[in-house]
Order: sequence, then structure tokens, then C-alpha cells
Amino acid sequence: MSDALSKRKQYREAKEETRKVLKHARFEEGQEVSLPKKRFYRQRAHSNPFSDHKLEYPKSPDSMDWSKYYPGFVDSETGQLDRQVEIADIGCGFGGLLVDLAPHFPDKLILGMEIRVQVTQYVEDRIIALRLQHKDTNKYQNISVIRANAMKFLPNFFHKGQLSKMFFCFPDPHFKQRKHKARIITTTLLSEYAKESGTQQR
Amino acid sequence: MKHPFQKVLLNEKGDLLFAGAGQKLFVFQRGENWQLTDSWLDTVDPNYALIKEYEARSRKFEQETAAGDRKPPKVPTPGPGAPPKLCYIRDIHLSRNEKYLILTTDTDKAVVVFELDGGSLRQIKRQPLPKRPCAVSTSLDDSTVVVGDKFGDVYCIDMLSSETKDEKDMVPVLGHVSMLTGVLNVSDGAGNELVVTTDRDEHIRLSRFPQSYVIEKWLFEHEEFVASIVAPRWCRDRVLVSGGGDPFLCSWRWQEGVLADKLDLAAAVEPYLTEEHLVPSRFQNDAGDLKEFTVSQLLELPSQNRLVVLVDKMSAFLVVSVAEDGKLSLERTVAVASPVICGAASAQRLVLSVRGAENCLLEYTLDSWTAAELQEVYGCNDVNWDEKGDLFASFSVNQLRKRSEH
Repeated sequence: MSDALSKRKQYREAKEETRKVLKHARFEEGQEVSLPKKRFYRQRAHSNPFSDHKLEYPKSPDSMDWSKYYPGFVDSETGQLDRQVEIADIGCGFGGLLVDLAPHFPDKLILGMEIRVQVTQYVEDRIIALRLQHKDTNKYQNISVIRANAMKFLPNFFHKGQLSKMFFCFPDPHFKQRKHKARIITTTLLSEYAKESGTQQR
Repeated sequence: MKHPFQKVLLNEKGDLLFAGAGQKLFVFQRGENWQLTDSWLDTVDPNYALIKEYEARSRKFEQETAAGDRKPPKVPTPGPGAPPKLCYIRDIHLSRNEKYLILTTDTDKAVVVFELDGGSLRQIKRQPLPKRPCAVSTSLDDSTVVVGDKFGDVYCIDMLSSETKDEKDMVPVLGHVSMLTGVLNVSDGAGNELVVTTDRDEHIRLSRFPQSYVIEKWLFEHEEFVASIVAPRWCRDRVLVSGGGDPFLCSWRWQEGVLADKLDLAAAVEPYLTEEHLVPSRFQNDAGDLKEFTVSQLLELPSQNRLVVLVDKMSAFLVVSVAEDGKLSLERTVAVASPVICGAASAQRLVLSVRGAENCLLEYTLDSWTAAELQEVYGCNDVNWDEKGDLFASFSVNQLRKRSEH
């Protein structure tokens, strides 16, 4: 057990290093990049949306710096993105949907949001690896992932009507009556989603 | 030792004073002097939820006697390690026409509405809620109580009828995923009503009312929780002023959704910070001198176009003037003998409840800023306080600060 644990830890630390390097530096040719292995990123399938996680979120949608998430879409003159995020996959998990959607909407920005730290790191590593593997075709530049609590801080990320699609796949069901407030789809939260997706009553 | 007043409230004219100590509410009327005219004690058992569950179970048991030799349900008793139940009157609120008094209780997590007749109270209704209520407002036409709870949900309660619902059947009209700290109904001057809700996650949300599922705006600037928000009436429905865990006040021209002004309080507050304001050791710096402060309450002084800013556990208060366009400027700081708990203001009066052994209620004159002790009021306070339990000392807004590690 402890052996497996330390192996996992070592793997994670190594990946943490690559993540840091890849985010800020360019690569040399011929470097082999493999997809991350899921088994090193396992985490309990639930996270309490009410607890005060150490989250990074912008003060307001205007103060969000998207450029490091979508470096392929940065306008070289202004240093800003040339378009806004339009599709959100909330609770993206290991990023299967993100990766599948990316080639279908090559000119739209897709953002995954996930609350579990290690799962988010897996998706990050996966996107980095995919981008590198498809360097010549510039694929997978339009997807990115953020560790966020969408129930609390979605309005901090997106303007009114910014999103055209929101995906909520396989949400935590929370069967008990007293846990219903922890569901990601509730009548009270729908009014927030309506505002961000521009489907709100005028 | 007497329990200090944890919540005081004055009416517009300043001739009625409501004060809550522990679970008891006192009403004072001003003639020659302040006179106690009525009082009300919350007598509901703090184990309200347990008892209710037990009653439901035993009723079910009686109906199913045919089921055979099943045992009757046990009377629930909290275990020896159960935390003590802190029961307080948390919020006292007057309706806009000043005919009704609304307060929130902790025992059965209820909103209690009283009709005011001079200085006496007549209870109209007591509506229990699923979670502990902590912020109260009334709709502009005074027909509905809008109450926010610790779970982030806002409920509407019909104020005028005495009918109550079961708390399980209550449906929230809007919700945050964070504890609410303030609810406020405002008018946009063009006949539309909005409800402003503030929470522990720095959000200020403006929704239509009663169509509260339509979000009009979010006001973003705070970096810590919002503790208090007011709409100064001399700014004629244009300005909101908010304060909380941040070392600054924000004023908003909310109809445009823009920040009008930001007033840094750190320099003014700094000389009054004591050891009580030190950051807990786990989050402290190496020198051990990191201090933080929290704006706990904003009080309107409509006769002077000023706000009184109370800071949590601080022996002073600040006076800030608010211009009609929302410009804030610090006018003065007034030192108080002991830490201020809460306050109330009307056109001509400012009353502060402070911590201390005796005579913990002060009245300030608004031009010379000198204090007089309201002995006749504090003398009527007969709520005892066992300081060992120290329930009241933990009554601090600063606890709302988020300190997360993961």
C-alpha cells in the first residue's frame, strides 16, 4: 500500500513539474509526450460544494485573464483572447467530453470546470499532452480546464449571455431530501444558469 | 452579570427603542425618559426539531398499533457530548410603515411578526423555517417579509395573515450557495422593486422582486464576505453602500451596476486595533502582528447624510459622509470606552450597545459626539449571563472569514 502510495506521489510530483514547465516554456523538437495515466489521479467521486476550498477565481468576469488557458487564441496585438469562452462543461470529470467536442467546434472555446483537484490536474495534463501531440495541426487549442466551484462562482467567470451551451453530465444525484441543496441543478441555481446562457426573461 | 444587548433598533422618529438580550426582547418608549413598555421572551424549547420529529413518530406509532409488538418511539435527548444550543434573537426589523416588528429566533428557527400598538406588542404569527434565518427585509408595500437563511435561501412570508406553513412546505424564492448576510428590498425609482442579497462569497446580487428568479446584476468588488449593506435614503434609490471583511467600504451606483467609490478604512481603524484583532495563530505571520478587522454594521444618519460604521470588537466608530452620487469621505472617528457590539440610529439619535460590566448602552448626541449612559434602559435588562459559557464572546462577524486549506 505504502509502496503504491509513494509511487503515485512520485508520479504526481513529476507531472507537477512538467505542468509548470509546459505552461510557461516552449518545447524542443522531438520531445516525446505521453498521455497521463488515470490511475495516478484517482480521487473520491464527491466533493462538498459548500466547503471553503482554496479556489482561484476572478473577482469579476472582466478581471479574468483567459490568455494562459487558450494560448492559441491570443491576439498578438492586445495580448487578449480574440473570442470568448462559449461552451462550458460543468463537472467535466476526466475530460472525455471536452476532448471529443474539441474537433467538432474548432472555432469555439470550450471550458471544463471541475472541483476535484487531482481530476482537474489529470485533465490539464491530458490537454497539454494532446496539444503537443497535435502541434502540427494546432488541434486541442480550443479546450481548457479550471478547478472551480461552479455552484458558487459561475457568475465570477462569465458575463450575461456569454455561454451558448452548458453541459451538466452525470451530476452527483443527492437522493436524500436534506442533500437536495447540494445538487448542481436546483430551481434557485437555474436562474444563474439562465443569466449566463442568455435565456433569462427580459 | 447581565447579558449585553446583542441587537438594538430605533424607529424613524427615535421614540421607540427595541433591544434584544439573549432570548428576550425589550420595548422602550421615550416620554420624559425611556420607559419599559413591553417585553417578550422566546420560550420555545431549543430542541424544537427533535421534539417535532418525536411527535411525528409517536403519532405514526399510534396509528399503526395493529402492527403488533413494536416498541413506542423513544423520547429523544441530546447526548452528553452534544454542543450547547446557542439561542439568540439574531435580527430585529421594523416594517417600512413601522406598524410591524419582525424578529428571528434560533430555538425553532422562526420569523416572528408582531403588530405594534404604541409601545406594546401583539404577536401575529410565528413561521418556522427549515434553516436558521439571519437576514430580514420587508417588501416595499409592507405585505411580505423577505428572509434569508444560513443555507443561502430566501423565503417570502406573508406578513399580514396569521396563517403559518409547515417548514417542510416552504419554497425558496431565490438562493445562493453560501450563507446569506443581508437582504434588502430597494426601488429603482421607476416603480420596479428589486431585492439585494449579499453572501459570504463576496457576492452582491440584485434580482427583481417578486420575480426573483430574474437576476438583474451582480456587483463585484469585494474580496471578502459582505457583512452589511444599506441604501442611504438621501441618495434617492441610486446608491448602495456595503462593507464586510475587506478593509474598505464600497459604494455603488447600482442602477448602472458600477462602483461609485471605494473608501479605505485601514488607516483610520489602525490605532484602535487590539489583541482581539490578531489573526488566529495558524494563519499568523512570523512576527505575529498580523491584524484584521471587519465592518460589522452600517447605520444611516439621515438628518446628516452620514453613515456610522461599526467595526467588530473595536472601541470606536467611524462617521462617513455619503454624497448623492455615492462619493464617500471619512469625517471623523469617535472613540468609545469599550468595544461596540451593535448600534441603532434614527433621525436624531444614535444608540450603541457596548461590552462591559454595567451600563452597556450609550446614547450619542449627533453634533458633539459625546456619550450619555442610558441607565434607565439598561437597568430593565434582567437577562443573566454566565460568562463561563462565554456564548456571547463568540458572537463575532469576523468568523465569517474564509480560511481554507485545500
